[in-house]
Amino acid sequence: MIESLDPGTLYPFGGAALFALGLHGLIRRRHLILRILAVNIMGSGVFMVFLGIAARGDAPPDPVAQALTLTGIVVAVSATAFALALTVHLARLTGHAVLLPGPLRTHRGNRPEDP
Amino acid sequence: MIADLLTAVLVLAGLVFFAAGTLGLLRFPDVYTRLHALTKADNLGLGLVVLGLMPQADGPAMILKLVLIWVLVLAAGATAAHMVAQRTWTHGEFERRE
Amino acid sequence: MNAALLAFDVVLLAGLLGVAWRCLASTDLFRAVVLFITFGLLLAIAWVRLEAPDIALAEAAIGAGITGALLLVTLERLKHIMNPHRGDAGPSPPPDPVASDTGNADAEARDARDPGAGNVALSCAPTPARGRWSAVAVSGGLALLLMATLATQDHGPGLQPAVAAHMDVSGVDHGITAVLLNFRAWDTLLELAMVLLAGLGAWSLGRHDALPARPAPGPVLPGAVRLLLPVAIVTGVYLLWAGSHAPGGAFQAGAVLGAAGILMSLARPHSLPDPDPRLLRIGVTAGALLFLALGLWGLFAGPALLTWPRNLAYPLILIIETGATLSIALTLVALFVGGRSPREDA
Repeated sequence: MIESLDPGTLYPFGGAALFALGLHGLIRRRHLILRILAVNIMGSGVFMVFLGIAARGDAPPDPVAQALTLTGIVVAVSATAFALALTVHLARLTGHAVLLPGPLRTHRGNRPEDP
Repeated sequence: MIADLLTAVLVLAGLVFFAAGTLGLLRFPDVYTRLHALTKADNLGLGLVVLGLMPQADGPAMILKLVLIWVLVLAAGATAAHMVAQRTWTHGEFERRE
Repeated sequence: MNAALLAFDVVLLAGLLGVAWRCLASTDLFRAVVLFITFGLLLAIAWVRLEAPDIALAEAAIGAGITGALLLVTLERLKHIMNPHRGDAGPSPPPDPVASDTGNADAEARDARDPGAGNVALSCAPTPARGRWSAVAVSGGLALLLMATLATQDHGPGLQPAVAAHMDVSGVDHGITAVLLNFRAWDTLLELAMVLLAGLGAWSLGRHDALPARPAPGPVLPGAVRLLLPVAIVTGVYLLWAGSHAPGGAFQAGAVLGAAGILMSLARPHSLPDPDPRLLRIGVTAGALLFLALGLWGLFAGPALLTWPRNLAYPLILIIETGATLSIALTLVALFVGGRSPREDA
């Protein structure tokens, strides 16, 4: 029983759970910073599934999956940085960092409640 | 064998200090006492862990790297603790709103 | 031993899930960001357990360190934008990026009078309960589907044997570097293009406002930076060089150097020289352009696009990695500082 729960089995499940948790946060939270964090957590879940599968078995782990994950981490930080820059820009235009339904209002008169 | 025993004893002793520091972080009432507990205990704990890992190192280069890690964490930890304390002194404690 | 490791794995995974949950459920953005940084550090430990030291290095430097710094500086900017003059009730225009020095002074005075006042802008009310169960159903159902797929999947050997069989033609001795810069160089080129694109995108959003960070009074931070900066540069170059035979490489090196640059811009924001825009552009694009140029050269001189002649593979990979390190580090610092330099508009 214990032998069958090696990291290669356990961590992909954890990764799947992290992905779902991030997705839940992405659906439920409205603030853009929290949404960016949620997407990052989803990405971490994907990386965990990848690396967990790569580490299965007794052979050394699969270097292709590890290299792609490394690529993914750098892409994730670039995308996060760009998303944060867009968030700051949106806040500068509208006065809040929340995506609201309807057309973008750029005046700061009626500041809506953060849902 | 002796090396392994030394490693086990030192690393365990280090972990005790880490646990004590973490306990202080959780239980102490304000920022200053928390910093006091955390930085002192963790620096000592990390020192013991590094000392404990030295018998397992492959050669002098590895030992030097371990010492370098310890020195860097000491420097970074001291700086960060100082800045947190300074910020708290000038701006007040971080509000808890939950 | 096995049971102890299993217990460690379970505790680590539970900790990761718990920290992620608390992070996303937080009503306080600052708390969420700090929990996210914690999450990144725990993730680095998980990568070590999965025998991926390269990824652990990158996660600790990029995922926890640089992403955390970017998030914190964004929070500071948001606080500044949403709360320019706390106390007057009416709406006020967004702060002029050029004149934000005075805004900083205002913010500082306000913070000193009323500690934690600026943090009001950084809260997010809890989500209303409406629609909670459908969201739980969607994400929980997806998790169960994913887990079922993973449980029924075959345990294949993966691509490890193929990589091991071709290591002698790759020019390097470390499998991941061989994959990144030789076997699947195409991915890495596109990744550098992605980093470049993110930098250009952030620049296209306008002029850069002064960093909201104020230099900390006292000699401690500048002293520590003076001590840490040379060590960071040596570590970055060492990681770059070590990537050919051990965990390390261009991304980790770029992240460490980028972190050094961020530390410097935080510690002494006013002493940073404004870089020559032309040089900065060359530096930011160097990685992708060098990679592409050498890849095209491989098309004519070597076997195919983005492949290297066997005897030249090692020096070519080292050149490309140096360019990539430089570009990644510069782009990360530029993304942290945010926006174009004011000198460009002059």
